[in-house]
Amino acid sequence: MSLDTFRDDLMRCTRCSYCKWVPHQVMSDTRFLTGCPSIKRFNFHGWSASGRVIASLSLLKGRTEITDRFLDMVYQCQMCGACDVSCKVERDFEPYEYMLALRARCVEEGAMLPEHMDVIDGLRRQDNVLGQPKARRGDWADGLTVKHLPTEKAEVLFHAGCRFAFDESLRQTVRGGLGLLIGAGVDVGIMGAEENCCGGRSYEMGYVGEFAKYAQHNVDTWTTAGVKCVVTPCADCYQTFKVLYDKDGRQHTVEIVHLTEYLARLVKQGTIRMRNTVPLTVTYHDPCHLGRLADPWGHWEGERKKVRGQLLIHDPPKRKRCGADGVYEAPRELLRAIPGLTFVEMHRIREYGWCCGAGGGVLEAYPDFASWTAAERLDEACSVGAEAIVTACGWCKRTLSDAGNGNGRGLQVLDIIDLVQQAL
Amino acid sequence: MALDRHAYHALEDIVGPEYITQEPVVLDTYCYVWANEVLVGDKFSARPVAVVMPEAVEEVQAIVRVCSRFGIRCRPFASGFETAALTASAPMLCVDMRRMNRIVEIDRKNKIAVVEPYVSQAALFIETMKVGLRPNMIGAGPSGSVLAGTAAHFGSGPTNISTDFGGRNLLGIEWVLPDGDILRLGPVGAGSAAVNADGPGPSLRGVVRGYGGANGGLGIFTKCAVKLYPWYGPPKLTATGGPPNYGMEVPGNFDDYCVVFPGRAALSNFMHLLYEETIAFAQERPGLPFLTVLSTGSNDELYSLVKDVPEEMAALASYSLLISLDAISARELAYKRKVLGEILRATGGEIVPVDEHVRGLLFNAAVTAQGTARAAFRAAGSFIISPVAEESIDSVNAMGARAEEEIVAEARASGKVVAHPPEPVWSVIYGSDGCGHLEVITQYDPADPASCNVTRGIAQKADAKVAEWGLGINLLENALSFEEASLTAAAAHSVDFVKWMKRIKKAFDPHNVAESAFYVSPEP
Repeated sequence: MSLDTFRDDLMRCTRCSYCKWVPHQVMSDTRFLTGCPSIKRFNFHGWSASGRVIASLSLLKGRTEITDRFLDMVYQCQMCGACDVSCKVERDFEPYEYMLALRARCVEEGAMLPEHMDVIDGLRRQDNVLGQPKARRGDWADGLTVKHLPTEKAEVLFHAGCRFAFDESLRQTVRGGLGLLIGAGVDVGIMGAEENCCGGRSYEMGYVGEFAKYAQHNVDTWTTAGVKCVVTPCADCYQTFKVLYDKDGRQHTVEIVHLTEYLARLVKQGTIRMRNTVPLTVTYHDPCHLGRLADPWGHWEGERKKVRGQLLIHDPPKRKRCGADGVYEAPRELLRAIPGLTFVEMHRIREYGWCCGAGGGVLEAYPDFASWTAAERLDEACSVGAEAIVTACGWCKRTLSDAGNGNGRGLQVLDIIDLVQQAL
Repeated sequence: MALDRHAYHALEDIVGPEYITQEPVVLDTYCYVWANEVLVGDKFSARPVAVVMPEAVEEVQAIVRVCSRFGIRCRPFASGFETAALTASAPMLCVDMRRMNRIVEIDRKNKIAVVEPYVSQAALFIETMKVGLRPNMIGAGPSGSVLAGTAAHFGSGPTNISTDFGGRNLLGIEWVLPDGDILRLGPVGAGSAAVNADGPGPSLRGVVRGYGGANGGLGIFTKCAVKLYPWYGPPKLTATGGPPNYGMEVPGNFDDYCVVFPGRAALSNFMHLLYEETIAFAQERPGLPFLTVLSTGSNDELYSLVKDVPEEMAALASYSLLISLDAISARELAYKRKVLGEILRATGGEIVPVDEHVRGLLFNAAVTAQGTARAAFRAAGSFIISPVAEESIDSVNAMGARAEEEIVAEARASGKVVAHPPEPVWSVIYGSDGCGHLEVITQYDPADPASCNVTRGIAQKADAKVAEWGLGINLLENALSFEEASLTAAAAHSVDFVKWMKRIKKAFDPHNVAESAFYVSPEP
């Protein structure tokens, strides 16, 4: 939806600042009360959801123009959605949608960050957001005996995603993930060099047209390949396939499953048995795209109207999407099932988890901010006595790992796949 | 209006380039506060010339001196969640206190905390709970600034029956005067030895706060000392469930109730007895309407819940309260329950049955003031408070009734404000003197000009009515308007209050460096 359609709501923010904090009911430690990395790092009110709401209204009213600083304010934000969860505890408001619309508006007006344009150029040329040669997208699976779709047929498509496919530091993890499925006898295949970007990152950056292109292509590919299920180890891809494609009205019957969900099923069924002890105290970092942003999209058609004078309601009633129904249990079930492993929670978890720093185009345009955000998370992990921070997303693992390098914390950064492999 | 470049460089030298901005869009985020559309007829009030973000009192001092030298007015911002954060003058500098966010000290023995301006109620409560103490909780809720609600603004909230309002909780202050001098009063100046109010020495608390707080109109407060009270709950609260309606585990030594009464007289009688018996941890009116908002995650849910309630039953909702009891022991809680039962019996009140989840919501609302923002803003987008009463319990309840008859009923009939049951008020009791505080609530849609117009009309009518009644305060909760004209009109009915406030302003800020809106100008 365009920014103009939200104009009335943009006038209804009351600058309460709840969007800056984790919901107050779940606050537990004064060092970790802020939910929004952007306001924590940049301080001025503009770097909060409320600030961007006000900026949007200012733009619509013609009070301001899009300057470089305006773009910094818009894009120094991971679109992690923490603000959205906190705001919705108090209000019937959609700050995440307003911020997406603001980004799309910037792109429509030709106000783009050069770093993002590079990403989009690379995407257009190579079908991935890392600008790597498309022909090498399947290299990560070299040497694995696995079906290649669509030439061969399989029930399950393993979609690696751009980050896992090209990032050599994650190679062992992604190969391990696929290996776990193969080892469990799952009828699984990959697309190899024919795999494409999900389009999610371009959507978050405001390039809605690029997103639509990849959404349609991927849905068509799954249909042609005849897969019943797409499994991905990437939280971003998962959210894009499950939520954004649905939001965008892409019709398909393919089940979208994150690898942690699939592995948790296999563990429950007894197909995967973790017998080795892993004597490690770990904490779990909820990827935003697997957690709150993966709350299913709720299609709603109706009228927003006023009753009892000015009480604003939806007719028929609309489900409030506030992050509660993301994937939170499957990763935790896996961790709890690993013998010898001690699992401790951080202060900001689940729908109010702190972002790793990578999302929304921040890693590409403001790498220092991404690294700062990740370092904050590592400090939080250390504060609860963890020896390792475990996540379930390639973007998170890479960003947390980079922030952790050489900082003396002595904290390992792992994907759950790595731990499950150790436990087998 | 642009900031003089010499002034800009002077400010930049103080805070560093990262902590000053003149970017128009960022400035706009500081001149958009709730109710602007009613107060100034637009979402945006006067755009400040810059925003600066100091980290220490010395920086604040230097900033104020630059403002004085260059003829710029300044106003501190804490969370900015208040109509009084309005930017009214030009040129004006916003001083965002966000970086001054330290809890300086919690003195367990003397029950005093010293905090900087950006310490939220939530942050202080989390830390004080660990040592068995708690602060006053203002109605703005957990994100509100402790300093703003204690030293600079009114400070009424659900725990007032056991903590009293903000003005009674101010024990000391670090104050950058409009001429740049620093004044330290009470424990902030003398260390945290036990002190009486803001002593030793003559008290300046009346000057600092006036009636409802100076809202930045007397300079910038950079620290304040606040009173703390015993906390009988656990060192940490435990949330249950998920958003938007997180629940809360209720500790065994707390009880939370919603009670309803057959009418206003019974309600008033009960409020008197509740104050006299000193059993309550928290209390606020209304009970049932607040409970329905707390227990619903959206307006859609709220409407589904209340749409079929018969009008005569809905009318009773006004005469209801939320009450929380706390106790140091099971015996004490049993005693307080018994007393509550007795005074309910004596006044015809009844307890509304609630399940454990809702009880948790009531507990959370009582101890953290969470939910007042939802109750105030979710319905239509915004609200105003007008008129306000600060009198005996009987008087404030009487004013609620008169406001209903002479102001609110007509507005409700227009369909341009949220149609609450009669007497839409929020009200608490102050524990030290049994005074009542009552705010007449109007919820309106800031995006709807007609709704804003009707709301503005309510505020204007309240201005006239409080003078006619000889009861209550006009716009908002400060006894002060942002408009000099309204102040002048109110002066005749204010027993020299406005005159004295102006004298104080003139004595401390003769050149009007500190923004006067929602305070007074020094002009006679």
